[in-house]
Amino acid sequence: MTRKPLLSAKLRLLLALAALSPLLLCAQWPFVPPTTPSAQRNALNAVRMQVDWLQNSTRTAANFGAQGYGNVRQQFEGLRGAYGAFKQTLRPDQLAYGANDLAEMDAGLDILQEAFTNYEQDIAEGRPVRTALNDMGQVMRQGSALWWQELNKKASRLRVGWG
Amino acid sequence: MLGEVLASLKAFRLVILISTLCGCATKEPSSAPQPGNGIQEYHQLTKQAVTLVHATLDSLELISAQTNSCPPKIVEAFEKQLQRLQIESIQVRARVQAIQARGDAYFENWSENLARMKDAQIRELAARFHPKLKESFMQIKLASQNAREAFRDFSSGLRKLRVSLENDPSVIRTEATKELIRTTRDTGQEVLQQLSAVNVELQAMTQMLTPANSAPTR
Repeated sequence: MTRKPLLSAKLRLLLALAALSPLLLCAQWPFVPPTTPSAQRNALNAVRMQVDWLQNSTRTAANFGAQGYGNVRQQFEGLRGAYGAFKQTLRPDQLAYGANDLAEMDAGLDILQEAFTNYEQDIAEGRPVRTALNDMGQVMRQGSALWWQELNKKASRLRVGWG
Repeated sequence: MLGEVLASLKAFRLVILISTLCGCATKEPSSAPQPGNGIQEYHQLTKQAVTLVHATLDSLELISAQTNSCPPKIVEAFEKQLQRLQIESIQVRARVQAIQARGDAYFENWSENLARMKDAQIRELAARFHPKLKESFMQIKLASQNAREAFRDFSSGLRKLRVSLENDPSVIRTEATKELIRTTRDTGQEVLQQLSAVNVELQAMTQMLTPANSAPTR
């Protein structure tokens, strides 16, 4: 009496898994972006736009307190994502040639991110939120400008977007 | 007089030759990546970092010289200098971190790029001095790591001092603040020492890669 519904439940589960398995496979299928010159240029442009958005968010952060801080963090994560997507458009020879340069750009982002840790430590040590946010904003704004300048230099050395 | 004219003619010819060569280089249609001069770049970055740390130590000295309460102008100047240090040191810190993260692979990539240089003499020198260059690189890696650790402590001490001074400028009188200034100054000096060690090795590498006939004369 109880075995039949149990069996059918197992069967249903198996059928559902079998039906979903191609979807699961599709979801895990790695997306390989093109490494064409135009794809590289577009990806580099996307990084530049993200730097702009990050810089804009730092200008207003101090007026919005915690929300402003959250916004800067969000834009910074966006920059990391855009930079990661840019790297995926590089050809194997560019990746090999520029391995040191790219490691430096990665490190640059980690160092920029330290501004958030510094901000949190400053708050913990009793610094007013507005002052700390202003300071973090300046470091992030000017630091990201330097980072972008450096990325441009390295991208030109790696012939990014060249036909 | 004649000597001066001849010297300026020589210089003029050199300028023409260099600009012709540069023109050729820019017309090259190749999309192959171009090698950069890692040694020169790092040397430049460490020189800038030394100047920055010196300026920050000067600012710290000014704070330390106050006896009663720190005037707002001095605190403000100190804050600005600290911010400059945090921003303008990003490149050198990124270079140091990349060297640490990639380790030997960093040197190998750098050597491969040297092997692709157009100048046959540099390629030959890079191959000949490979073991010595690697030795220098290991010293650079070590000194860079030490500089990185010292910088972290230096920056942390400076930030602590900034918060204390912002909250109460008369905190300068306390023994705890005096001690904080002392330790922060020491870590700043340590950063300078390690950067100087990096520079010594970078100069040694530059000498190894300089062809004998174009070595600077004194």
